[in-house]
Amino acid sequence: MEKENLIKLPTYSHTWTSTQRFDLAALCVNIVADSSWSSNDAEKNWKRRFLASVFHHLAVDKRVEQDVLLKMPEETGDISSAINLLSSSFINNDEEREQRGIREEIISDMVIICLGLSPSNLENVDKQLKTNDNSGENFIKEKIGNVISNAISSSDSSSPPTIMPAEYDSRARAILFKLAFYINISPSNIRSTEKVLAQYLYFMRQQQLEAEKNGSQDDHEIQGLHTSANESLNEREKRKKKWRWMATGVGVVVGATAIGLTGGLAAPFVAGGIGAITGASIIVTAASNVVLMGSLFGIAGGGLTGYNMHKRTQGLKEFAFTRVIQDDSSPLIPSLYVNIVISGYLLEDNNEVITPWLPTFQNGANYSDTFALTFDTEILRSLGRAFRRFLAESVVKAVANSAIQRTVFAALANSLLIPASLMKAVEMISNPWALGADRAQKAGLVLADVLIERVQGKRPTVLIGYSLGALVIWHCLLELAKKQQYGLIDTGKNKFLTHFFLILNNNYICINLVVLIGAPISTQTSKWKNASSVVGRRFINAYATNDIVLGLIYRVHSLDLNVAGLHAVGFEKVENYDITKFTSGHLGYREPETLTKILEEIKLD
Amino acid sequence: MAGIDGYEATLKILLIGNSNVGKSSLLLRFTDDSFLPQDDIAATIGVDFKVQDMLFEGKKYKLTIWDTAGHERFRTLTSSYYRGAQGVILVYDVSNRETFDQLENWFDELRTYCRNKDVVKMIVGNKVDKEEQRVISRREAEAYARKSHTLFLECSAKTRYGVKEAFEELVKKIIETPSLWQKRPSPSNNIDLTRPKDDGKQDDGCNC
Repeated sequence: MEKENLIKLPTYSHTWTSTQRFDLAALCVNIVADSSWSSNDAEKNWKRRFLASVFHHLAVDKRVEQDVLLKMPEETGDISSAINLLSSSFINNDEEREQRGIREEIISDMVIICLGLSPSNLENVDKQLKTNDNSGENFIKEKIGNVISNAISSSDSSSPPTIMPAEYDSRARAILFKLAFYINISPSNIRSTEKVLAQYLYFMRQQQLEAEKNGSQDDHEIQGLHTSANESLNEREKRKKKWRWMATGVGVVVGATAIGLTGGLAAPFVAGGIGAITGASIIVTAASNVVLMGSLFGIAGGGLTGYNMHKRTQGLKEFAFTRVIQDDSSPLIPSLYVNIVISGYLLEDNNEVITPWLPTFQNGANYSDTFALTFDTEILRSLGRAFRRFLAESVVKAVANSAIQRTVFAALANSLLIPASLMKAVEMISNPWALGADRAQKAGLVLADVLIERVQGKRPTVLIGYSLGALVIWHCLLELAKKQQYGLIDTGKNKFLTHFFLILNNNYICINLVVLIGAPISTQTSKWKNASSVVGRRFINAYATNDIVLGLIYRVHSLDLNVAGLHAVGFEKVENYDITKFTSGHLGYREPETLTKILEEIKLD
Repeated sequence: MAGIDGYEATLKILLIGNSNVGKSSLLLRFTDDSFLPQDDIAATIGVDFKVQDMLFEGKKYKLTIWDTAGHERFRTLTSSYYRGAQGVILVYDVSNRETFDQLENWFDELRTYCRNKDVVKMIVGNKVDKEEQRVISRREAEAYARKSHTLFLECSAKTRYGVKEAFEELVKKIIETPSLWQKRPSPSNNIDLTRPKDDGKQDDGCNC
C-alpha cells in the first residue's frame, strides 16, 4: 500500500524560483481584486481567505511581503495592465524554454489550492488538530464539524485563516479560468487536472475501504481514528434518518425521498448507501490529515433533512433528480463539479428530461456528474400536447413560415392587438403554460433550497435549462440571491457550527455557470443584476429570433416582446448567444442534435 | 452461473505501456471499430473506461477495460488500477525500441501492485502497419514473451489487424483460468457503488 503517497498530491510550487512564486502570488492578488460578484463583506472575507491559501502554498510567508502584495491593486490603480505585465512574464519565460512547463504546473497547483488540498493548507489544519487533540480519540468523537471550526478558530489567532479543505468554491473556479486565460493556457488543462484529482480522491477512498477491511494491517492509531470518526458519523446519520422529506408529513409527494434525492445528486461513490456514506465523509491519512471528502462530493452536509414544503412551494407534485448516464458498469468516478440540466416541456414522453442532454454529457472520457431535474411531468406533458395542437393550427403554420416572421413580430411588437385567429390559437397553450410557469417557479425555489443544503456537495454547480427549465433556474438564482443578501443561509443544524460558519460566511452559494436557452424572462428587469450576483463564472443567455411560440405566448401573457429567449439581454455580465441558426424555434430545443450544437457553440468549458 | 443481466461474468482488463504506444487507439478500434489520427487524440488523463460485451462459446461476458495514462504525470494511485484485474495487456510500439525495453518496468509495476499470480498477461506489439520503421522483430518479442510467460500478439489499431484477436485470446485465457473469475459472491468484479444497498456493505469481489 502506498501509504506515503496517500497524502502527497503532486504539487510543483517547490520547484519554482522565489521570484516566480512571488509573481504568481501577485497575479492572483490582481485577478482576485479584478473579480467581483455580490461585493459584500462575505465576499471580501472569502477573498482574503483564498489569498491566504495562495500565499501559504507559494511560501510567501512574510507578513511584509503579503502586505505589499495585497496593497498592489490599490496602488497601481491599473489592474488590467498589471495583470498583463505579470502574466507575460510567465509566458515569455516559458517561450524561452520552448515549453509550457511552468504554466501547466501553475494550473495544476492552483486547482489543488482551490480545493483546499494544498499540502501546506492540510498541514495547517493538521497542526490545529494536534494542538487540540489532548483527549485523543474523544476529540474526533465530537461532531466532525468541530474539527474544522476549531482548526479555523485557533488559526485565527496565529495566521490568517485559509480556505476549507475539500471545498471547491465556484468563485475559486472562476478565478482559475481567468488565470488560465491570462497565462495563455487552454481551459482543458483545468479539466484535466480536475479529472486527475477526482480520480485521485476516488481511488484514495477505495484504498481506504480496502484498508478498513483488513484493519489489522493498518496502523493502530489511524485505525482508532477511523473507527471513532465513523462512529460519530454513523450516529449523526442515524439521527438524521428520522428526518426525511416524507416524514415531514406535509402530504406532498416529492418524487423522491431524501435518500433518493441525495443519492441522486451526490457523487456516485458516496451514494452507495448510508453505510458507505458515513465512511466516505472522512479521510484520515497517515499524517492524520482530515479531509472532508463527503463534504466535497455531497452528503456530509446532510442532504435535505426535514425539508418542509412551505406555502410558497405547495402545489409542486414532483421534484427529482435523475443521473443522465445510467450505465453503471464501469466505476463512475465523481467529478469535481456538477451539472444540473432541466428540460422545459415534454413533447413526446417523459424521457425527454434526459434525451436532449445525452449527446453532450455522455462522453465517457470527459465524464462529469450530470443530473436531470424533473418536476411535475404531468403538467409539462400537457404543455407539450398543447404545443403540438398549437403548431398544427394553420394560422400558426402560416406565421411560422420564416418569410413572414419578421412582419409578424413587427406587428406583434407595434400593436396591442393580435389577430383574432392567432389569439384563438394562443389560448390553447395559454392555460398549460401558466400552470407550467407556476410550477417552474416553485421548482426553482425548491432547487435553491437543495443547493443551499449542499446536497450536491461543495462543488461548483452548472445549471442549464431551456424554456420552462430556464425559468426554474431563474427563480432559483433570484431565491439564492435574496437569501444571500439577508444572510439567511446557514447550516441550521448546530448552533456552534453555525456560529463559525457565519463568521466565515462559508456557506455562500454560487453557481459556476448558468445557461438559459429560450428563456421566458423579461429582458427589461433589474433582476438580472440580482440573479447574476450568484453566478461565479459565466451567465449565458441563448436566444433565437425565430422563436414564434415563445413570442406569442409571452406577448399574450406579458403584453410585451422583450423576452430573453428572443433578444439579447442588455446587462453587462450576461453573455448573449444568437442560436437562431441552430433551431427551428421553441420546440427545437428538445432535439438532441439541436441542443448539442447550441451547447457546442456556447463552449461549456 | 449466468447473472440476472445475462452475463456469465464481468472481466476487468487493464491496458498499460508507455505513452504514445497506442493503448487508447487499440481500445477505440476494439470497442467502436474506428481510428483517429495522432493529431486528433489527446493523451489519456488518469484512467478511462470502456465497456464491451463479448460472446465466447455461446456465453456473454462483460469486459470493463481500463485504459490508463502512459504519461507519468497523468497517472493517479496506480495500485488502484490493478486491483481486481483479471487480464493485463502490456502494449509497446514495434517502431520504437524504448517502448519495448521498458516493458520490464511495466512488469515490475505489475508485480508490485498485482498480487494475484494467476492474472493473465499479454504483450501486444502495436503499429505493425509501419513495417518500414519496425525495429522490434516479431521473433525478438516472441522470445521475450516466452521468457516472461505471457501471451503475445502483434497488431495494428490503424488497420484493424490482430486487434480483435488480441482481446479474444486474452478473454479465452481468463476463462480457462477459473480461479480468476469464479467463486465470486457476485458476477461483477466492479466496485459498484452506484446501486444503493441497504446493508451498505461493499464487495468488490477482489482476489487481487
